[in-house]
Amino acid sequence: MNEVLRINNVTKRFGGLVAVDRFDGYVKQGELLGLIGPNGAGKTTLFNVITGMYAPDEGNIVFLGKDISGHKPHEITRCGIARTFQNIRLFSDMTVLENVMVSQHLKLRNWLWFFKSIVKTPDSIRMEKQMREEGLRLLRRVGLESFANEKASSLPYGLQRKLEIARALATDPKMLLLDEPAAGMNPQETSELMEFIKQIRSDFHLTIMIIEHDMKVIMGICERIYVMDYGKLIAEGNPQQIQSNPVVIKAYLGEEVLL
Amino acid sequence: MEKTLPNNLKFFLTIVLIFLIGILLFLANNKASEYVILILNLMAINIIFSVSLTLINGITGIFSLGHAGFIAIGAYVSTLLTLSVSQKEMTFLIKPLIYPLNQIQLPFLPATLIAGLVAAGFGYIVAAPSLRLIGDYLAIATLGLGETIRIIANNAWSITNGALGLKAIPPYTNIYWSWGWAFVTVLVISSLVKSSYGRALKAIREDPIAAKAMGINVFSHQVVSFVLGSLFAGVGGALWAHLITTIDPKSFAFSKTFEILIMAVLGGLGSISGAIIGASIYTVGLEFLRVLESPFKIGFISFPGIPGMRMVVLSVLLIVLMLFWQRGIMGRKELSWDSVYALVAKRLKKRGGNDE
Repeated sequence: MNEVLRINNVTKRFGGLVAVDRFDGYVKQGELLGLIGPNGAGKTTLFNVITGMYAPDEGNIVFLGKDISGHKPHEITRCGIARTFQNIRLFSDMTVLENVMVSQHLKLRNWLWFFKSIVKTPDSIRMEKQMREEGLRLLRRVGLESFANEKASSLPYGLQRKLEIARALATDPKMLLLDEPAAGMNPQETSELMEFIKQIRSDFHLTIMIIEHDMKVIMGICERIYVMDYGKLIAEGNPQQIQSNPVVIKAYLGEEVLL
Repeated sequence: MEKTLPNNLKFFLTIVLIFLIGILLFLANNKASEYVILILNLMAINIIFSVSLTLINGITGIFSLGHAGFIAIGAYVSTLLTLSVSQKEMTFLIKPLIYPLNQIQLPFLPATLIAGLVAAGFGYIVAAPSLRLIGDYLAIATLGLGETIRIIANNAWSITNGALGLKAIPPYTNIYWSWGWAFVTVLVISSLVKSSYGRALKAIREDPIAAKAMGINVFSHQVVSFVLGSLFAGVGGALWAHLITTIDPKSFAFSKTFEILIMAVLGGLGSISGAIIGASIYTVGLEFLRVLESPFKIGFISFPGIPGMRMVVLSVLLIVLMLFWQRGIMGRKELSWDSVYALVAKRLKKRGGNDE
């Protein structure tokens, strides 16, 4: 299997704090990769560096053979990396359908479209119609079509999480980064989410990287896991290897447990 | 289940409505008193101002307080282009007007267009640095910007004639110009808001970080929105100058921005139809409240007129309105044929229910 993403020796500092410390890693095509670690280990910061929210202080990130480090977030999304957020960040005053349609805005690559959409040329009307249809098709695939005209903020929590994933999918990504998708969910919702993630991976031919504290999710769906602590990569392996890795247990529970 | 009307019918209704407004304006232009015509002109210009501010503040979520600055630019640029050469010589007593401007005189339409473009150009120049700020800081930066433009106008004697202002501006603005431009403004901005770009702008308002992550170039979209808003503010400024026929820097003080902000908030920040309603109510309401400033009698006691009384009452009314309608009259909703139809259908249904 070939590599989709390579993270080369990435470091991100905030003043004196080294949030990500010389992180080296890779993600293979079609893989479901877990990223775990205690609170404050630098997992979300690593996501923010990959998606361009922060530029790395050292090292670089190569996505599909192209160095994307230092690129702006919207440029990276256009390259094919989409993400969700730890705390839900929906466009809450817009409808469910509009949320998904916003993600298709990146299809309008040059500013000629701006004038076309004011004058409403035939091809801009066609484009608008196409966006709407594609948005509805996507909502149907994730099972949110009955809420298409509801406000995003009126959805129940679990569905808001789902909508956030659907919105990321609407950018037509090759790789999806999920930041704690199961946070705040009950066991029923969590197991539905696990099925959902596996489903979209095969449906959309995605490579998925997932941060999660719920070990049931990580151990249940991930094929490979990276463990971070204090910004460093401390362990790597499949779920069984990680569960029995003394370094990981130490990071989570402290030294005494092993004695 | 929401009922929607067929698109053809909606289009037809819109055409009929525009036609009706056109006829009304035509009648007003021929039959109504000059006072009414003045109010109608002001209403149209205020619609231009409040709709353009709504694009910046309400749709894109850039809390800008510099609108008066762009109006000033539009007013001055257009006036300097339309004043006759001899009038310019007479006006600029202290320092003569600088070279190319003192030789040219243009018709109203090109002057208005140039005024809009110059305002848009200024918008572009100031948007780049100030949009690096967010929230309150952006508001203060744009506020400072508006004041800067006013103070430049106050001191650049060889361009603006300083504090003396410009007088005897040809009264070109009539019902057709002002309402024509108001129509263009509303058409362009609502067409933009309805498109994918409008959704992107609203997404930026809701959550800039998520908008970035969804592939939207937040900065360039904000700049475009700001520039377009400034363009129409400039056009409105040009119309206003040629309606009032005399301008000086004091007319573009912060209170002008505030006045427009009141209209936009009254109608519902984030709604174009709200901005139109807000501007209309504000313009007409202010005139109706003039009664309060004239002397009146209750029984035996007669009250002398108190100048400024209407502003006091207006403020109280606004406070009451904001208490009960926190998001303005329309909120972020738009008035559409569908919503009108739904309202009428609901009424009819209710009446039907009562009959039984």
